[in-house]
Amino acid sequence: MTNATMSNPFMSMLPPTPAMFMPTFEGFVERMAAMPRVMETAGKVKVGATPHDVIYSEDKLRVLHYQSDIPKAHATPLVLCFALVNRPYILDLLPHKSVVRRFLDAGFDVFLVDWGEPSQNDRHLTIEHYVCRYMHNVMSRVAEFTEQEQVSLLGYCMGGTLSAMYTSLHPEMVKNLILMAAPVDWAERDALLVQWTDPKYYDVDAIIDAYGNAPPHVLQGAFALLKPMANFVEKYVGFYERMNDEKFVEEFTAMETWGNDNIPVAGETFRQFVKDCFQKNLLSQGKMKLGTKRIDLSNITCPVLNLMASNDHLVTCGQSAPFNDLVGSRDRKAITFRAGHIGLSVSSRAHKELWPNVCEWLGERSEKI
Amino acid sequence: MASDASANPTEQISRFWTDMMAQMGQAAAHAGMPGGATNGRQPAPAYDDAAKSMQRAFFDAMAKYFDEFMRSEQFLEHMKQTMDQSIAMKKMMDDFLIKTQTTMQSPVRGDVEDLAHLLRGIEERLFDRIDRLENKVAAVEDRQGAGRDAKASGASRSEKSTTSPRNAKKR
Repeated sequence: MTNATMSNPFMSMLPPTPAMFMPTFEGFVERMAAMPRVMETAGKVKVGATPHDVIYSEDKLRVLHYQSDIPKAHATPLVLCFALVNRPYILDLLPHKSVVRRFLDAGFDVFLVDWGEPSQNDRHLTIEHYVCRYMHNVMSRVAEFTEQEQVSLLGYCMGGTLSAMYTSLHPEMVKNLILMAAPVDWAERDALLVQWTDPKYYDVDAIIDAYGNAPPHVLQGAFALLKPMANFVEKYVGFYERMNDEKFVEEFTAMETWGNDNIPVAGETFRQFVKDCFQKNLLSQGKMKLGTKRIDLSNITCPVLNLMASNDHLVTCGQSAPFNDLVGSRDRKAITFRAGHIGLSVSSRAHKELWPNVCEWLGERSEKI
Repeated sequence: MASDASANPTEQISRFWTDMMAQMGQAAAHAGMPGGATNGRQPAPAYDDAAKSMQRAFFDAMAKYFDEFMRSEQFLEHMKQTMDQSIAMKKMMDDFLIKTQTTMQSPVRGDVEDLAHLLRGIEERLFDRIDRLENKVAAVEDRQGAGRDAKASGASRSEKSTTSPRNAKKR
């Protein structure tokens, strides 16, 4: 070994002996040979597979009621409400990565709101339509179906924001409220999405006037661009390195299926959300209005659990954490878990460490059978 | 939020490059990359570790660079221009298609949307009327229930008061 290679680590990479490249080459051949098996595994992946019935539908919306062999331990039903962006089956991605199954296993009666895919004719739907009409009808239907007066509500991402709005308008309907990576306060201007939606650079009126609905490819592109290295490079490097691992391929395919299954957001809803929330931050100031109704988060008095992800690049903890100070509830708790925005619902660690605690918290506050 | 670092692109790139190489060098040195460990058929584990550390350092440096860049005035301005252009293009296409379809006497999207808008208006008005009717019925039922209660309590004070049908419906 020369002095040069001792002092400069890059020099050690230089001697191009054939032996040095053999393992890499062998690894490459091995992976290429595994391709048919990878394709077969990927083809078999089935997302959102927990058995369910549809108990209510209205326009594009459907309410799924999940079935389970595990006897119910809690009378209070739980409604899961996902964002209007992307599909809600991220909460039931794979059997071992399913928030739905964690709740079913803990003896809850679980329902999921599938908002459906808005068409151009749904561009006029506003947040008021979603919260005051659809959500209220869903909650009333679930209450009627389960013969309960109140329902527990879990909202994820933008679905959490909608859930908070709903609970403030109909506190009598909600037994417990769980928010999961849900933004409520956009005062902190550091988040990349907040900077991108700055009115100086982002003319939401022009976009919605031209496209009708918020186009899914634009939304997906923006979300992917928040972490370009992770989404465009590291992900595929990781896949190449672990493509011999069947379980990894299954999970990777499921995530890719969900990540590319984008839907548009109803134009007027998107316009109002960007303007009132991202640009004017009206919700946390108690100034946001749905039609004639003002949203006052201090109307929320039910037990509140606020789940945040410390590595969330989409909804920062600074956008979620203020929620607990804005509500009128005495029973409120916040958990910051080491995960990303999606990792909160699909990471193995979250299913091992977070969700059992969430089930316990909810179980203590639900009516027993 | 614009970054001041966008002033001189050459300086920016050279700073990024120097930082990245320094980080990769550090990563390799930390992993103890041996210079002559590749004589055998399998590379020494330290070599693999060093390569992985350098890869990690490279990804982290690039991610940091992209994050800084995507907050810069340059990027935001470029994003705005791209969006303005795509919107202008979309409008041009829409205008062209509308004109073509109108010439061909076929309905355009605007016609369908107008129709949907009309239906939505009818639906909203119906919902409003149903809400008002529901409120009226509830008020009438409450009055009837209260009347019955008063009658029942007047006739026999020992009997339990009845519940209005509306309240009975509530769980």
